[in-house]
Amino acid sequence: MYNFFGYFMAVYLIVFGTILGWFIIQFRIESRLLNKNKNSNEGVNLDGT
Amino acid sequence: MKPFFNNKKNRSGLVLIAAMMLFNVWNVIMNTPMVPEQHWAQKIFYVHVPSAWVGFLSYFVVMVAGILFFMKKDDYWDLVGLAAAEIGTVFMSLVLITGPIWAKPIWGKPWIWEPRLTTTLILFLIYIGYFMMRTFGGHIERVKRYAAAVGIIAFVDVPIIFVSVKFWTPEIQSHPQVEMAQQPSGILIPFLLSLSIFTLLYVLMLKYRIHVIRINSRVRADV
Repeated sequence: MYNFFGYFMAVYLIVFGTILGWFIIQFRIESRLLNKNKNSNEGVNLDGT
Repeated sequence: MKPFFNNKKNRSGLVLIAAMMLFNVWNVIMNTPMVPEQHWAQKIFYVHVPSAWVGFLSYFVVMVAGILFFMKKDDYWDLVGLAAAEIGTVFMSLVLITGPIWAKPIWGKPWIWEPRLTTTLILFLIYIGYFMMRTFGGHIERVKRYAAAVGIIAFVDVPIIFVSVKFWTPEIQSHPQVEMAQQPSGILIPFLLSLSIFTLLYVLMLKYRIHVIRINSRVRADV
C-alpha cells in the first residue's frame, strides 16, 4: 500500500519550494545587478575598490 | 532602474497572490473531496495541471513574442520571449517531476512511454535546445532571430500534447480520458480557482523576469 499523503506532500513541497526559490533567485540577481549599475554610474570599480 | 518590488502595484500583487495561493492550498486540503483509490494522490492534480497550463501559456507567449519580434524588429519582444521561455521551462520541469510522483502510486511505475508524456518530454527537450542555442549560438543578432523562429515552431507541439489523448488509440493511452467538464463541481470549482491563481502568479513572474533581464541588458551595455 502506497503512502498517498507522502506523495501529495512531496509534490506540494517541490512546486511551492521551486516557485519560492525562483523569487529568491530573481531578487538576488536583481539586487546584484542594481548594485553593479549603481557602482558603474558612480565611477567606482565593479569590485568595489 | 528601481527594484521591481519598490513599485506599490507589484508589491501588492505579490502579497495578494501569495495570500490567494495559501487559500488555494487550504481549500484543496480541506474542501476538495477524497477520490476513492487515489485519496491524497488525486489532490496532486490541483497543482500538476495548473503547472502544465502555465507552461503551455508561457510557450504561447514565446510564440507570440517571436512573431512580434519578426514583425516589429524590436528587441523588447526578444526579451519577452526569453523571459517566457525560462518561466515556461521551470513549469514544464515541475510537470515532468510531479507527473511521475503521481504516477508511481497510481500506475505502479513513474514513467510510461505513452503519447501525452512523450510529447510533453519532447517539448521540454526542444526548449533545452532553445537555451543551448541562446547560449552557444554565436552572433547575438542571429541568435535572436533563431530563438524567435524556434519559439514559433516549438509551439506546434503544444496542440499535439492536448489532442494526444484522442489522437492515438486508447490502447496505448495511460492518461485519464475524462473531460474536465464532466468532473463534479466539488472538484471542478477548486481546480478552476487553482488554475486562475497560477495564471495570476505567472503574469507576476513574467513581469518580474522581464524587469530583471532589462536591468541585465542595461548593465551589460554600460560595462
